[in-house]
Amino acid sequence: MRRLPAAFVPFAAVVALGCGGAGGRPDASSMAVMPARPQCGALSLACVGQKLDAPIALGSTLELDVRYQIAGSSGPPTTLETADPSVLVLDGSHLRAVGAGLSAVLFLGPDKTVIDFLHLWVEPATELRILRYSSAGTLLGRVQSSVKLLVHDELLVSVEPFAKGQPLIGNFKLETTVAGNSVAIVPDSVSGFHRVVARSPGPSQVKLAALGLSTEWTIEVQP
Amino acid sequence: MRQLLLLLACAALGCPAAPAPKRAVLYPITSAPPARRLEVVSKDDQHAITVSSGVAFGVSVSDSCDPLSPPALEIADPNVLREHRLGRHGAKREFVLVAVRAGKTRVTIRAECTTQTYEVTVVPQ
Repeated sequence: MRRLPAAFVPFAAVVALGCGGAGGRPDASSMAVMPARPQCGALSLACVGQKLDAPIALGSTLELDVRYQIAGSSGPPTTLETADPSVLVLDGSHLRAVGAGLSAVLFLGPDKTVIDFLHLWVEPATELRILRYSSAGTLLGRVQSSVKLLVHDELLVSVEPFAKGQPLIGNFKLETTVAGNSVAIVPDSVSGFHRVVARSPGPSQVKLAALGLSTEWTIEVQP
Repeated sequence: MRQLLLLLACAALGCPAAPAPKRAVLYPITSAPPARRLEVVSKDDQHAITVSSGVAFGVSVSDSCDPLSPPALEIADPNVLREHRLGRHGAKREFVLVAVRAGKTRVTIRAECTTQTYEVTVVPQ
């Protein structure tokens, strides 16, 4: 493949994920816009998506936050266009993953010329995992299917889709059902996170459902 | 007699060189993502592109015409393959082609002195 000369490389772009839904990888501040890397754009022009490190879960949505670093100019007005609408559909600034496979996403300038493009994969999720984070948003690890808490304990968790062990990205509606009164599960102010609060001694059974999958979580709160 | 004189003149002065063939070709400047196809063939007897649906790729056009006259690309069926210009200063010979869905079409380079058609096959994912 021929690489373009450096003189043709006047800018770089960054794409970050917006996590507006209740399920999916949380949008912690430490995971916001990442610095550009010069080799990750398809045209060797732009770095688009260090956070686009996995396929998108089928049935989820993804918001692309396009930012540029152009010598001598601010970022130009940009519109998006998908190559294969049977895989990815554009819904405002959101991409909807409607079919398994791959589609290019083009970043078009004001004159409809292509500034750059990237390829996104869509994969059906096979599993939902509950992951625990610190209050600073650092991933601590996978939550076990059965846990014990003390009254007033709090866990910060997210429910994230995986496909055959590989994490997927995307936002989706998460349905939470709690049987029992010992815990409360409330969405955190940072989208994607949920706070699990132990309120009183006793057992609770939590069911989490999204993307056609579900997972159960047994919590026992001790006095 | 006239032919003999022409032959002798050619032998003495050298025959004029045959004009260079006019040609236009395109070649990819990006590659396909993993597990997807992108093949561009530019041989004398075959000009063809095979690409997986959903793939976008940059191409550069080279021709033996006036270097100041940029070529244009013409797509027979834009429902199968779309073409965009590259939004970059001085990139008048570079384009982005987008394989929209499986099917066959043609892309024609219209250069100042010649045209060249590529048979395009977009294969399903």
